[in-house]
Amino acid sequence: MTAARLIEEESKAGKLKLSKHEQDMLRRIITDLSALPDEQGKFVDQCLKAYKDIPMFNPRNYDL
Amino acid sequence: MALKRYTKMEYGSPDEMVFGEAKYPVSYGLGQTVGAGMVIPEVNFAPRPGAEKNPETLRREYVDYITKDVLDRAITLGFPAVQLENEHVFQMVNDPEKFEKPVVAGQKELMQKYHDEYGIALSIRHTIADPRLAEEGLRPGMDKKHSYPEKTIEAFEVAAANGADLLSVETMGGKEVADYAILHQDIRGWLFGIGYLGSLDMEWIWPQIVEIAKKNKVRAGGDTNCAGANTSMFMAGGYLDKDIPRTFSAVTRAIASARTLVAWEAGATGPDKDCGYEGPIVKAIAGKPCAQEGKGAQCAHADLMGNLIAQVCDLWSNESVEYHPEFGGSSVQCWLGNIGYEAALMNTAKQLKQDKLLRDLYMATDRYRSPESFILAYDNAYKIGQAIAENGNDIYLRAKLPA
Amino acid sequence: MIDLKSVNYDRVLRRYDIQMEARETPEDIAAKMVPQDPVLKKIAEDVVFMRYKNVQDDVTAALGTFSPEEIIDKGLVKGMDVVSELYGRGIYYLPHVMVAADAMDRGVKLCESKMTGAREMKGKVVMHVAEGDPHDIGKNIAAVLLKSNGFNVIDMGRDVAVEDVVQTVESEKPQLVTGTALMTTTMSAFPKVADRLQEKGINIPFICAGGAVNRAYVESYPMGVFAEKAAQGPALANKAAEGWDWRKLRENWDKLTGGA
Repeated sequence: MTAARLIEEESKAGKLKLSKHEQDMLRRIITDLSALPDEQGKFVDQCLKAYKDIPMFNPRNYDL
Repeated sequence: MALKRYTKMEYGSPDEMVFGEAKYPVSYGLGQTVGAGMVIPEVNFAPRPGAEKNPETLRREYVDYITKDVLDRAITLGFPAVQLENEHVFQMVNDPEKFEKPVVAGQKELMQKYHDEYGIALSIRHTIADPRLAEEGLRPGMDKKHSYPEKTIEAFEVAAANGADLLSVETMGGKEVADYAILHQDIRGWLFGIGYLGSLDMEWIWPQIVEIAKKNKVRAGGDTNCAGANTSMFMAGGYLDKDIPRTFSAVTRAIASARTLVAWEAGATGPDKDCGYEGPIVKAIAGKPCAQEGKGAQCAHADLMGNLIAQVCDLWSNESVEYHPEFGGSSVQCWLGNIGYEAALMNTAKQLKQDKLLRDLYMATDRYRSPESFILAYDNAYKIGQAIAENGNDIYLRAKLPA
Repeated sequence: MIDLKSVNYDRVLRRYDIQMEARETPEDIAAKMVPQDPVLKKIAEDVVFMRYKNVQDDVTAALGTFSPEEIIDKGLVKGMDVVSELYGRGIYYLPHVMVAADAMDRGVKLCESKMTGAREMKGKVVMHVAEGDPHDIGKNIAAVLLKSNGFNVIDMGRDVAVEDVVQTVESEKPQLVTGTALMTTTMSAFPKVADRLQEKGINIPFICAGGAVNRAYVESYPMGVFAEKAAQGPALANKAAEGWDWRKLRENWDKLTGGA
């Protein structure tokens, strides 16, 4: 979470200003990323299930 | 072909990075060397609508009008080196023999003439269009309707065999998931689309591009996540735009960097493409030269880091401009003037050993203009690069941890 | 690295977006616009606050008292009106609109399943991305906005051949057709579509938009009406559904699109 944390720190203590929407989104990104598994296999299984209904997404395009 | 993963940084510290110098300079074209002490302007253009009517009208537009105008202006203004970039239109990938070949060959022939006559260093990047559609199939044999995967590879071969110096592409792998994720502000989905699927797609196509380049003794440059991170960045836009928050866009840029690196891991030499705003991150990791665009690309789009993104570039580009008349000449001539003078400023700074000062001035003006410019400031770009390299062997972790 | 401590950044850049940040909350705006009836109010608020998990339960409960048509028009659509207002004022961002539209869509589908006839729509729109062009995010956004504004959308997808567009318009008989393109050399399919439609005697507005597309180009061929952003789609489509032809849309374009 390097990028998100860099932005968070600078917006709290430095010169980088964030709008309310930008702050809300940043918090959500940090929460969402924190919830992700550490293992690639688990992440891929989770995503293949979660995004299977996205129009045009076909795992065969990626040999999955 | 096995990919050589980056697991450590080629630069020892952020301060070692500066524009016009790369750890691994690349030579190609007609006397061109990139990343060896000079920033080179890279001018990019789009033909007028209707120019694609037939192969001859397209050739005339690209060669007789655009390329000639560019070369004339380069000589007129005394630029020592220029790179052209031709981002191929759909017709050139759909029917490479008919539409692509005469353009590629014609541009090179004219460039050779100017090089011979004036001694100007010249090169041309051909960026092949990627028309592949996820719904039809991204791999050979899948797209029964258009055969786009096969045509894409063929278009690389035709370009390499007929005059390209440098091959690039903006691959579209994972975009179908990333587009959905942008509209739902779902960072996990974006990470899956670009960080994971996009990397897999590049692992398929880039070894082939590198092979084609080697066979034809030209260079494989690099990719850009134009289809993903730039979609985020342009939707996030400026201070009047309300489409998506700029913090989302900033984080997608960090994720995209891990994906863009795959081209170089497959053996491409750089320079990567101008619209890859992730350039400072991937250059920090790999030490290969990068092309960037910013204030000299206002003809194509507004961004919030017009100066900053010049900080460590090796080529300085105008992104793209439609060919049309302006008061000062044709559009390609005017924008070449813009980027060429900026390159002259950078090169003079180098000669006077003030290049690191100029780098810092570029960086300082936009460091706080947006969260995305902040993370791309070279010191932060370096830290993001470290998060990628530390997890270099795992395409999931190296996209997640820099995010 | 140079020391930036002494830089007064007010002399370098100004965050106008933060300066102008809306003080009104979504709750303030919604309170003024949602229906009075507590059942319909709840449904409208489900849409406004993107409670898509509650929508189905709340709509099911309301079906005991109200007709499906009433729930759509006086509950779900009212909620979406609030969302449009919030988006217009810059309080909501585009993803809010997308998620709210998902919530509304769930409610609408449930209502439709309880209706005896087909739901009355404002009109029909055929949408496509130009031949050779894979860039479809703008079209997808516009499709969501048009659907949530009560239009029946026939989405033909991306990289659609001219003849396919013409055939679909012929068979579907929409009030409006749209085309999007990112590149200069794919947008040149638009005048071909317009020509072929005219040959067939079809004369409906053809809204064209996308990266390289501009107003002068779109107005250079018959039927073409430019849209700069997806958000302008509903305003143009509403007028087309009221019977305005493409010439009238062009004449009133500045007014309809807020002079954008």
